[in-house]
Amino acid sequence: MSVNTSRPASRSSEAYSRRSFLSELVGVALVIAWYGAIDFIFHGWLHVPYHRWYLKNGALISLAFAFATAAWSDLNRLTGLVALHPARYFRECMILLA
Amino acid sequence: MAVVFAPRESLPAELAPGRSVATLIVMLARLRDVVMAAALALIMTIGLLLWLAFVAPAQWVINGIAGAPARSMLQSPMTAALRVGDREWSFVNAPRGSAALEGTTPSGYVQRPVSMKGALGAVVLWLLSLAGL
Repeated sequence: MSVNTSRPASRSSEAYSRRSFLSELVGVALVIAWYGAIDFIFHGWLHVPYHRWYLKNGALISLAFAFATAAWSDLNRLTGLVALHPARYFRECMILLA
Repeated sequence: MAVVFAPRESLPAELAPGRSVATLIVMLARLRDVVMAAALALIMTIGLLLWLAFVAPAQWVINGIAGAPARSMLQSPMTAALRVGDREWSFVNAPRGSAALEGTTPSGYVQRPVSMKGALGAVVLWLLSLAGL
């Protein structure tokens, strides 16, 4: 007896991709809100837009991060730190923090 | 301190006055190490929390650009590697874990994707800051 499973499988993968897309969309919206909150803090505290501060110091921070991860090679197993999905990226950030 | 000033005959050999001072110095040195380690752990925790709160969101944006090569390398079933021979070097592109990759040096994006993303991100940010955005 053969059972055609292609339809439910494709339906579930479609549902999964829709869910993944929606979670990515929510994640991006949250990051934008977070970005806005930081910008508000920077305007009030340092009187400088957040993106200007990050452009000025971000290269040094990224370089320090690269050196730290190169020296502590286990961090390179946290491949979610290169992920585009915000939830995965921030989950790995929390793991790094832990 | 009570141990240091106790009568000599009542003390065990390892706590005799001279030894007690040495023990005290060792204990103080250990205490100093504990205090310094705790202070450094506190500084590191604060630094990481600040990084998570103020840097990680912006880094995620740069990650979209600088992380692209690492992401495509990690998703690919093939691995790029360099074979260094006595007289010549050659590039190898073979399926992950295959015998063709033995004795080769895999691409940095495969070995250290996070470090490579950080280095490339630094270059991208430096170029953006030069552009005066």
